[in-house]
Amino acid sequence: MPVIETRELRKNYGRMPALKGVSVTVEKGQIYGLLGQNGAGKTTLVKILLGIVHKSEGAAQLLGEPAGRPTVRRHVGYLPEDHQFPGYHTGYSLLDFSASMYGVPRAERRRLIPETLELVRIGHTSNKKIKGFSKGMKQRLGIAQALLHDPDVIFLDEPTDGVDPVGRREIRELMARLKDKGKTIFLNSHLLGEVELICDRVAILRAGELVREGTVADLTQQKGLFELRLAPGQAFPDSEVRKLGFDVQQAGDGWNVIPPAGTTIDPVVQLLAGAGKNLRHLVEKKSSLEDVFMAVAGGN
Amino acid sequence: MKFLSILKDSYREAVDGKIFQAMIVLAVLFILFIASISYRPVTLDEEIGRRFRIVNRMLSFGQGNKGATKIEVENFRIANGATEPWNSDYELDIVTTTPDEATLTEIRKSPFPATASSVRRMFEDEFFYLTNLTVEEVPQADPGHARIRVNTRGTTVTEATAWPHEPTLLFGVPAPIFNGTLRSLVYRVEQNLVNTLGGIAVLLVGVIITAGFVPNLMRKGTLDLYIVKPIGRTELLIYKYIGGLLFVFLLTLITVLGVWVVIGLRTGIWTPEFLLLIPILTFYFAILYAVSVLFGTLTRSALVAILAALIAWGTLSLVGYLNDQIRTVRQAEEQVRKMLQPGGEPTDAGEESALGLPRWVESTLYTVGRVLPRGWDLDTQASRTIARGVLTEQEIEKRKLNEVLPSWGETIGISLAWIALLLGLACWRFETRDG
Repeated sequence: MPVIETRELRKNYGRMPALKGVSVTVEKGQIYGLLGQNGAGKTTLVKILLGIVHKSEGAAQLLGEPAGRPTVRRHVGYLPEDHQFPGYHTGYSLLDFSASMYGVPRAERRRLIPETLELVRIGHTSNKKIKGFSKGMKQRLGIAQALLHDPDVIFLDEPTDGVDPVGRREIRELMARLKDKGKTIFLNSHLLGEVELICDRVAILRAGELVREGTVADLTQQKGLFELRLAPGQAFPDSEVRKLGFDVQQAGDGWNVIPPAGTTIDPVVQLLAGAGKNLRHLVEKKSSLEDVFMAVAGGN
Repeated sequence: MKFLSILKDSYREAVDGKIFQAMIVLAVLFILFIASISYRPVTLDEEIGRRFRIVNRMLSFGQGNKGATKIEVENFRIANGATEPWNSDYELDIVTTTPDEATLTEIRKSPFPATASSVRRMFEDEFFYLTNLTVEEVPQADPGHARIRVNTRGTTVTEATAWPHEPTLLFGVPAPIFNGTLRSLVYRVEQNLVNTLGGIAVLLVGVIITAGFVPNLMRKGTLDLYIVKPIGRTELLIYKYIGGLLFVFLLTLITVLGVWVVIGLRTGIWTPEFLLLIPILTFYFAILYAVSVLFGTLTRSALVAILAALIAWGTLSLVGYLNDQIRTVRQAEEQVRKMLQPGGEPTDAGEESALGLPRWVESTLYTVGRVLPRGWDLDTQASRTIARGVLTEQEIEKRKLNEVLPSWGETIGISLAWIALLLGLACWRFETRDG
């Protein structure tokens, strides 16, 4: 059973469509990254799943139940984007309030809160009012309140926003540990490098539509583009290769070769071997997630 | 657990604003002020002397004689040697001194106590608690002088609380202007200082302290943190509402209970009826807070919520006051009609009501007043409750605090229906809004 599942999910704000029939499936234990430009509908999708925003059409299920039900939310942790924790709370009291709302017993809270604050490296702020927190500290506190009640699914909306590079790495490591414990993480982020590093699957939204979805490897693979280089001093037989129907372009001291449809790179390898050429480098070229994102979400 | 958590959260919010602490300090100061009021039984000669000082001042103004004409008490004595003034038999002379016979004759024609009959009238009206009154004029050699001898034996007063007392403010500032029986003084403190002044302060501060609860909850970036928790939106809003009520309940509890204790300790008058002010004021606030919650939900603005609650308060008071007047006039009209036409049917009294309003305006106001929340009636019921606790039947009748009021059931029922309606609308809006 998928942990998160949406089918043809639509949301209109007045006449403005925010989601146009989005279908995603997230399995247990995955880290699922949702990418998209501002206003693409990422936060709306998360908010529908959490019951913060009402869907217009379609279906959304969380842990097998219709999304948004209070009973389902018991098993969910959430770090909202641009959160404003009430400034009258201290780090400790906010977590105490949050955990008590999830029904965590008092004795358990007393044990868990200091541990969780330490986990996100803000143990020293336990008795400090939130209004005195830096952006990074607030973000860490937000992550702590999302994790404290040991949820099965964790929604993190821009978790590293305002966090320094060391902190980002710590948060990535934390997510990896949570994944190892079988938790499912739904991650909204603008930081594509981060998503590429940690996510199992990625979806890209553009103007409310799901334009790409798959594993990071799937999305970044450029099927049919091979980069090859010969030993120094050897000339590349580009005209013979072209005669085989391959498209050839020089790229620096190497060559990019694109096979015709339905053909592998093998005929080129055999040609080079027959011609006594020494192949030093052959790789099916991949693009970065940023390239993919810019191509599909940026409209390029 | 969720309810307590939200309550604790609201408590932190109120405490963080420092207004709540300020109110507790003010409540304590208020209680201390009331504790600083002493009540001293006044003797009869003090009481008469105080009145004569006023009379003599009037005489000096009226006649421009710079004190040549005056009325004084002489030969005052307690005939039975009693120590409590309400157990005493009194003997005293009231002496009127004028420059000549003509002036004395003029004075005797006035209502001033210069004749046996006017002195008797004064005692019967103002010292009605003195019994077996005898008043006689003692002939005087000086034609400008009059001496009226007064004897009383016993009083109707059986306990100190029904005897006139003089309050002393701030442990030492006499305030004879407020003299009255101990019971009436306690009534004034409970009604005027606590119910009226304190009530307004509690409601006003309550409205201000709690107005931010709902709009702050709905602030962008904060709301998500609350509604993502496993709690329904209606439940969340109702808990916030109850949290606000508890603040005002707490504030009222501290103030009323504190005043009740210090009045009891100072006077020995312990009236449990006064404690009913705690639920009455809290219930009144519940009406205003329901308005505040609805507008806070609709606009997410604490300022709008405060304004809406204050406008509702003013409207309820105005409509309630006008309704009260209409009801009183209607009752009076009905009494007159019964006297003039016993058993007869009501007749059309004309186009204008006794209040000077067109009949249709009066009817509309009356109808509006009947269907709106009963803030005014609650206030009136509170006054009557305080009066019943501390005043005697005669005092209640004398102060006209015994007229027929709408029943508690009607007052609370209609108000509760409004609270349910306002909160229902707020919950509906909260449930259907995005984010």
